[in-house]
Amino acid sequence: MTPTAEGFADFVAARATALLRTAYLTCGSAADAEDVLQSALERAYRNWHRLHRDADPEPYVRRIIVNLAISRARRRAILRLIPVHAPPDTPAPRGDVELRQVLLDALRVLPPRQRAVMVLRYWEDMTEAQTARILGCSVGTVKSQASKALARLRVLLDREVVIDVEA
Amino acid sequence: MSRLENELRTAMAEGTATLRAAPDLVDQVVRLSRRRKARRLKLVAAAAAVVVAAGAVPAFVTLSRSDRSVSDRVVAEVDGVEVHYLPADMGEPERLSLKERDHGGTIRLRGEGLMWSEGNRFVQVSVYRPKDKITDVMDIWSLNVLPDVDESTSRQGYASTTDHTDRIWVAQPGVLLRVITSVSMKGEMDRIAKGLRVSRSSPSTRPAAAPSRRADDPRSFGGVRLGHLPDGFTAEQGDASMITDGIGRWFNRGGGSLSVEVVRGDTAHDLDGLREVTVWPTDERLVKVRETEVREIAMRGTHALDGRVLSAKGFGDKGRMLLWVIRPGLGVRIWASPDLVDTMPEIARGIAPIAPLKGNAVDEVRVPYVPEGFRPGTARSATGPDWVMTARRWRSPDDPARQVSVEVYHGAAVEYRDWAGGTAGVDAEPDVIGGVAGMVRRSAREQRFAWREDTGLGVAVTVAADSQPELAQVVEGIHAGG
Repeated sequence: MTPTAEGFADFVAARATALLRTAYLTCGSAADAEDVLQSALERAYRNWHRLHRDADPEPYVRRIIVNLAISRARRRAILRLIPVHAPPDTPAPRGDVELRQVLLDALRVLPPRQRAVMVLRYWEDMTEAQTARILGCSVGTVKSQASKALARLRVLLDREVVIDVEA
Repeated sequence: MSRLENELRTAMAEGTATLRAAPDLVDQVVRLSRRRKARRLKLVAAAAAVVVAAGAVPAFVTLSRSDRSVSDRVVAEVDGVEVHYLPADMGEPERLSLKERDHGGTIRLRGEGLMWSEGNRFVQVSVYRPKDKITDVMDIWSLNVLPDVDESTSRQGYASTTDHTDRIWVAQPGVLLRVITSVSMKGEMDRIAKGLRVSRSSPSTRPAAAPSRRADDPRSFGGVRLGHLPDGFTAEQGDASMITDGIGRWFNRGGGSLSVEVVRGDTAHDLDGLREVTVWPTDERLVKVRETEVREIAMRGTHALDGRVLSAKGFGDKGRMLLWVIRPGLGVRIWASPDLVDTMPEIARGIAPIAPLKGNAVDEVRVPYVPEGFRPGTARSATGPDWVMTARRWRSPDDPARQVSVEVYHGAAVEYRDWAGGTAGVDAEPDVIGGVAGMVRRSAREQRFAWREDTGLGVAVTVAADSQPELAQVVEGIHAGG
């Protein structure tokens, strides 16, 4: 490790798993999450001597992760339409575990920016202002995106419930 | 908190519980970085560079105002900011101490202001020097101190209320300005805002150690000297500070901003390195880069690049950047807001490197005291990513163990918090030697003292272990400037 990257290994060791989880939730896939995390850390490594000297580098890395994930999703026009109409393999009364899986699947269906808002607000526990800063938009935009995302999740969940009952 | 939100949190936690980062992630990242660096160096002929790095878009380079009719007369001054225009017959101002609260009542900004009031007309100019990093319009919005926000004004580089009687912008890193007018005077908003000039930079951007050792020559900084400056610019404007990855100074004129930045080290080895701004204040991009006419530049035969600076998010024009390498390891970038772009060639023509001093000196740093009889050796130099070092040693002809070594460092690296300690050596301790605060390392063989002499300029002196008085005299002499 060069002197330039002094502390970088410690940072990665301490925070990489948490950042990977954020990347996974924002990207929607483990493979994409690993790519995005690696790219974000590479950028941080290049600027490490500046990042590390007077501030916590984690917000910077998180910001890159979220924005890379959004860019990547937009570039590929990814909307992972999960087969919500498919009957479950083992029809059973809906449990909490299944509900959460449906929620995660529904999260992946959201547009990338709405998904990012959900992750930052409810996974990272950020305020609306902090979320706005990460995404480079206004607080009002965060509010509206969060509201739309939650509404959409409710719709997706309701549809799933109906399908499940009909099945 | 609704059930849906709670379930969402739980789902996220459960959905990621089994994820673990790869154990060799650091190695992967370092390898990736080296591969990318090598690839970048090969991409010599790319016509348009798109340089994306981290940080926040500086609003101060987005101010684009064509009206230059503001007077040079200073109407008033508040907290290091000059007011150059005020509508007629506003009377004497009232001085204000300001605490700006957000919608929740929390104090978000503290500052000073002036308020002129005449009948139903009033104008207030406010200056804030926040400790938190506020670099762009988004940051200002997130403060929530404006009663409402017209989001369309972000393209002009400022935050405004929807009735356009209240405007806040980042004038310089660490300096927020605000103008509030009565409804009857909002037509004057542009001229008032345009007439504000920051004459004193934020304390946070000023050198942390000694005052400028070249106060007698305000045109010199970072190892270069500014020549002729266009009308409306003064050499006294601004203090040297880190701008992107170099040492620079900001100049203001008519609401526009221009920075001259000196980059030292491997980054400035050639144009391809210099154009890769590694630490933009935020998400800017340098696009449509082209080679400029050689005759625009001070040194004949020097090629330069000129490109447009855009925000990665497309929030309008961030002006242009002109950059060139004076010699390998010494580069200059000029970044101007749109209305000051036409001044760049004139400023560039006048920039010249400061010649090394002759006699008892290292680079541009004079060494007035050297123990009697010591003879100088030849200078040697070294470079790092963002620093260059020149060193010289004086030895006693009678006793080779008696010697004084002086190293002079230039570059952004000197501004790093731990620069002096890292340069002095392992286990260095803070100390004051020869009246100068720095870091010293004492071993059985030698004493080594390092300090930041000026913004982007550091010095390290090494003497034999038993030469404490000589060390103090050498340091004192260098610091006094000779």
